[in-house]
Amino acid sequence: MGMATSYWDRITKQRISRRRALQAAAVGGASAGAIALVGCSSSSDKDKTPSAGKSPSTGGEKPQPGGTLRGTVSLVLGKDPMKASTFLTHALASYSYSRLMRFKTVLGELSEDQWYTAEPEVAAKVENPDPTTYIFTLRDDVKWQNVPPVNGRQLVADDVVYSFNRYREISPNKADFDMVDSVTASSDGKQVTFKLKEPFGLFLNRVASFQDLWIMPREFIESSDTASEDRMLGSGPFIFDRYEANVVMAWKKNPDYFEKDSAGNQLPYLDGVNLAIITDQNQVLSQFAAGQLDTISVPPKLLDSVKSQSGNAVIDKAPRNILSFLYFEPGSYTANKPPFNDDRVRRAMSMALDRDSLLSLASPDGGLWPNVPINAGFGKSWWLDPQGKDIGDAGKNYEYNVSEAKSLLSAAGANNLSVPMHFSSTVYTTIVPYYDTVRQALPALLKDVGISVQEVPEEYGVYISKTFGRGDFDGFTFGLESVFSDIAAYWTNMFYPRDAGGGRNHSSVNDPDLVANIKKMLQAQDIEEIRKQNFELQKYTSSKMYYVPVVTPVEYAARSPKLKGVVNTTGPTTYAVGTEGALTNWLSA
Amino acid sequence: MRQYIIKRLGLAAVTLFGVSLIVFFMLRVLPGDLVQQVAGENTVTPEVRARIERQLGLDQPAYEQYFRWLGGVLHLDFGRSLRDQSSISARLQRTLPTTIEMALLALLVSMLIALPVGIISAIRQDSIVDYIGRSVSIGFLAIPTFWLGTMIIVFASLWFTKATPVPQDYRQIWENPVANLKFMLFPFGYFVPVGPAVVLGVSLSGTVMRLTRAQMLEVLRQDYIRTAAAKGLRESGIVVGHAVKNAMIPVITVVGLQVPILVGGSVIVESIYNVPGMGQWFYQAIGFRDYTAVQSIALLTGVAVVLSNLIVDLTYAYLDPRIRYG
Repeated sequence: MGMATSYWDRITKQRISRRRALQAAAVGGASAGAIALVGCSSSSDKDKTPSAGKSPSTGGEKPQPGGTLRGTVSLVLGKDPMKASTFLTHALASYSYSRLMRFKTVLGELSEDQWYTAEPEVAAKVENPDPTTYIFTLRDDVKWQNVPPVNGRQLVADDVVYSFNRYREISPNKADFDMVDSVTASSDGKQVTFKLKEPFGLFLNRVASFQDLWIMPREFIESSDTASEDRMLGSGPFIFDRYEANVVMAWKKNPDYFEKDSAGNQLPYLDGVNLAIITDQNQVLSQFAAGQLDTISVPPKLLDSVKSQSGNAVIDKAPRNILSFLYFEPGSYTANKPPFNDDRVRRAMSMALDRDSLLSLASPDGGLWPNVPINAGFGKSWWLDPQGKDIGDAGKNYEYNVSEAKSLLSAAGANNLSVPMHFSSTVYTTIVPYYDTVRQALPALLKDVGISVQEVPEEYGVYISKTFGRGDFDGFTFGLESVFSDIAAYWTNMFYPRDAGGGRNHSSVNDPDLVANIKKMLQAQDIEEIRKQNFELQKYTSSKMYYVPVVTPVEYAARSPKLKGVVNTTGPTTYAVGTEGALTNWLSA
Repeated sequence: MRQYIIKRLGLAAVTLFGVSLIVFFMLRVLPGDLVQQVAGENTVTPEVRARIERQLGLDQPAYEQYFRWLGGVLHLDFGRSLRDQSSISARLQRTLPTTIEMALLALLVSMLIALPVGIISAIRQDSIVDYIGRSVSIGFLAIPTFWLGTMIIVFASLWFTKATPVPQDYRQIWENPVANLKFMLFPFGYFVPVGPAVVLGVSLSGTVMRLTRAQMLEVLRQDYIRTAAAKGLRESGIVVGHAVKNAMIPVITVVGLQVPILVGGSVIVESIYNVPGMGQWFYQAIGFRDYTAVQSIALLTGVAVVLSNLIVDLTYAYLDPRIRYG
């Protein structure tokens, strides 16, 4: 793997203690590099009128069409991306559905200045005549898959409008598009116009988000009450074939897919994709070692096992944007309830975290430190490094400093604090294998600064609905934030009021000045101005520590050397694995 | 006998009704919120909550939900999963036979191990064979199923680069009996019986082995056994013809009581071996508060327990002519 010049290796050279950050397949699906996470784009926003993305390069080797890619997924929680808020469903949907925009991918490494670049997918071009108008002209060669009831008819602007209206009606993420005033189709069916209520500088990235605007055909959705949950039918590169609970989810090639590679070959190359549904990690590793899977995610602790059992496996790496963080009982902010209403206590908790030690526990290659709420996986264009000089005084809050933490607690009158820590190890252990290792280390670190922790393990169903979803808990919680595809979504979801777009404001953080500044940033049009304000906001939230970010460990994915055409082997990859990754995958003989 | 069976079936119906009530209402008082889980990780607004509750029928009073579900069950329609709207009945058609087959094979394996070892241990009491047999039974009792299964999967991979078939290659017994039985018993080769049914069976065999030995020892000390020996009958004839049959009555009882253990074991073994059965589904359904799935599986488990107990009772009559039902 040619990773010598990757961002993560550069970080390694700059800062030995943090080493590299890698990527693991969140869904062990199509390809290691095609599965990871997306974030906000930069360069697309410099030019608000991007034209159709270039045809994917063949990367020098001549792709061999055919073959079925064998991946794995641990959970299938539904098939309708509009109804879901979980990335798992969106990742699976990306095999069958398309969006107006998608995130840029390249074979191999994606240079950092290209991270999170939105480029047209179903759109041929985008025009941005004024800050609140976006006109998407559709490609004229996009057809629905040749399956009843759509039978390969052309995808037109009305389909996009229908999908948007349905999204607005049923999606749990619909607040992501609160800025949209209206969406209309042109009479010739070739253009869709989005009118915004107010400017939104990162709008194209939002349109490219894997969590939002998947285009779905009306006649399919309306064919039965459960059609969109029984199967998938879109204009994506793979036609849904079958789903058997706890067994498999499978797709076949869409021979009429609208994209070709730079040599004019029809995409996708693969004849199909089979995702085995396997919950047990040992099973996953043994299946890969036995050559029955082409790609898997690898828990850091088992990296050596994979290397020894599957010596010829290619290990991929890229950052991952799942944010591990501590969040505090909502009464801290809504009712000024001690002790977490005092920022000195929260800062002390942050200083109690020996992040380098936690990283060494979590992964053989360590990792990076996340900021609040922007994770290291967004790259230096968006993530303000807590150990860098640009963060200023707020950087002290991230330093491991037991004596300072004790002083802060003492000043806050919170000596000998005794608090519950909620967490849920179930489910996470298969998707985020480092979670429980880090969780086990937290009480001892906090004990060192005088905070006694009562561990409150929660079954996942209780955790996700009561603690994470409703914020109904006492003390604090160690949790993971699911992934958003742009920085704006983190800011709005985690800091806006819960009833005004703050769907992930788990602690009910109530800071009107912060909200106003987030709005100001989002309305900016100049990308450099957005970046600048984004960094200022991170400095501010780092000083307040409304949430305490923990660590971003290096994660791994392994793939068979036969699997070629892998995109974004370093840097950010994508959750929209079907359209952004598997599209160019092929299997060598 | 017929009256007895009818009476037992009547009692079984009452028991199952009780089970259905308990399962249905206990699920609904569990902490955790299905609506929140269906909605995802975001905050659920009252509007979204109302829409999801309406979609799932959760806006109806609980007793209405119960009777609607029970009415469906009586017509073998178990409703739809609250999680993904898939048909519970259709999924049961695929998963139930797998779990039943694995459980029966596990029972068979446990009997094949436990009975010969238990009997030989008894008739060769305090011999080296007995010591080995007793040690093995203690070992089987002590080794947790999840550990044994995990070790098998891990070391098969580490040492031999072998894995069980991926789930989509699993075949039901009526589709491909050879492939199915190979997976259940010998997934890594015919000389290595370490399949899921074997692991589950081994864990059961310890109890049965020890009980068989104890019962055999007691029976072998009975007067009629001594009489048979005094009359010059061969040892094998005494053991097979007189001792085993009488020793088996308590053993059969215990075997019948293993059904709930088998169901519990199947949850673990199916997850480790990735067997697409009911146990694995049950585990996930509880986590996701999929009420209809959990209550349907729990009710079917209740049916299995009730029926297995009935079968055990009826077997008594065959094994012991003194027992007559009427």
